[in-house]
Amino acid sequence: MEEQKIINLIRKSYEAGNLDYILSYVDKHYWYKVLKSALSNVTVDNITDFSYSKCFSIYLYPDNKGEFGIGSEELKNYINKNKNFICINLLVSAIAPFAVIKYNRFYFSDGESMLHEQYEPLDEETLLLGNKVKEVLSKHRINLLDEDILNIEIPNLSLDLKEEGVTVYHCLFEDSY
Amino acid sequence: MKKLLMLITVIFGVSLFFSLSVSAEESPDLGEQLHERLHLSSGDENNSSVGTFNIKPELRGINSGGGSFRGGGGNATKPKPNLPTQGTVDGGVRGAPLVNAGKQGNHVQGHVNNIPSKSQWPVGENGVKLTQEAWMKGTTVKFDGSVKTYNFGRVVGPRGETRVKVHINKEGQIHGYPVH
Repeated sequence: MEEQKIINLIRKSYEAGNLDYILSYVDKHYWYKVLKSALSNVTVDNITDFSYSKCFSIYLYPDNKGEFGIGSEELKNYINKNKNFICINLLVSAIAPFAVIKYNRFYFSDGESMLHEQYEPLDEETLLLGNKVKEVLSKHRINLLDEDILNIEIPNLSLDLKEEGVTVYHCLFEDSY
Repeated sequence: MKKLLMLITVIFGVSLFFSLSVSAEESPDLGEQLHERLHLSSGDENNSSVGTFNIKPELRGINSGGGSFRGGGGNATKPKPNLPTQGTVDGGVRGAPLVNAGKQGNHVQGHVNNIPSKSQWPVGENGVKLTQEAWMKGTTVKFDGSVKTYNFGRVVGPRGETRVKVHINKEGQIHGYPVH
């Protein structure tokens, strides 16, 4: 490898804090295994990917709904039959001890896949499941961040996809346009 | 005579290799070079987008819109991807947004924009068609509709990934990569 390329790599890691290489060694299934052993009668769908995200991303819902994964044809069938699909999306940062719980409702509008998400439970079921997840996080000393903190803008910072208006959420959890 | 032939073969091979290995920074018009070499059309008659690269019909439908670029005398172990460095690409999926070639290249092995620490498409594939398919069939996983995920129900990535995650930018261009 060229000398300059190595120097650039070091600068990116130390000065710019590029975490891509380090994250490639992180076990993507770590939190899946923790949640799977801690929660009973719950389907745990792990879609963790560190290409742009700095977090584990896991969907949770009562297993009496089924065991289909997010993005599957089975999920589409479920939504078509039941009008919507409600679940929890847990994001646990891989670079700092913080997490976010999002309450999701998937549905179709004019044939288009839509998502409503909020930081408060959508119903009794997600309230109970959310509380169980919070207990697990607490045991691992992971702090939940609320919406106000997540939306704090970090000045003079640009990410892979989000170039302007980068927030705490983009830095600790998911980078997206 | 035999030595001369060998010499010519070596020179041709080396020069072709270097001409294909030149980076985007060194050669801003690499997209055009690839355009020529891959026989891509510059947009169809119904598409007036500037800088749009559309894969010719004969190249569509190749496994995940891909196919590899194997130049004689080039590096046989690292096939060059069938993907320009900039502009947009159409994998032929009806109604799907065009794929941003530069961003897609982050996930394409052998592409000048490749970032190995990010999720990769299999060697020789650019994932353009699967990315468009995933966008058309996928579930929205971000409230503003800018990210979708689709599970193909079969392995599409080199590490057993069955899902594809797709992002759309403000210009309406997409890029995608395999996820578990």
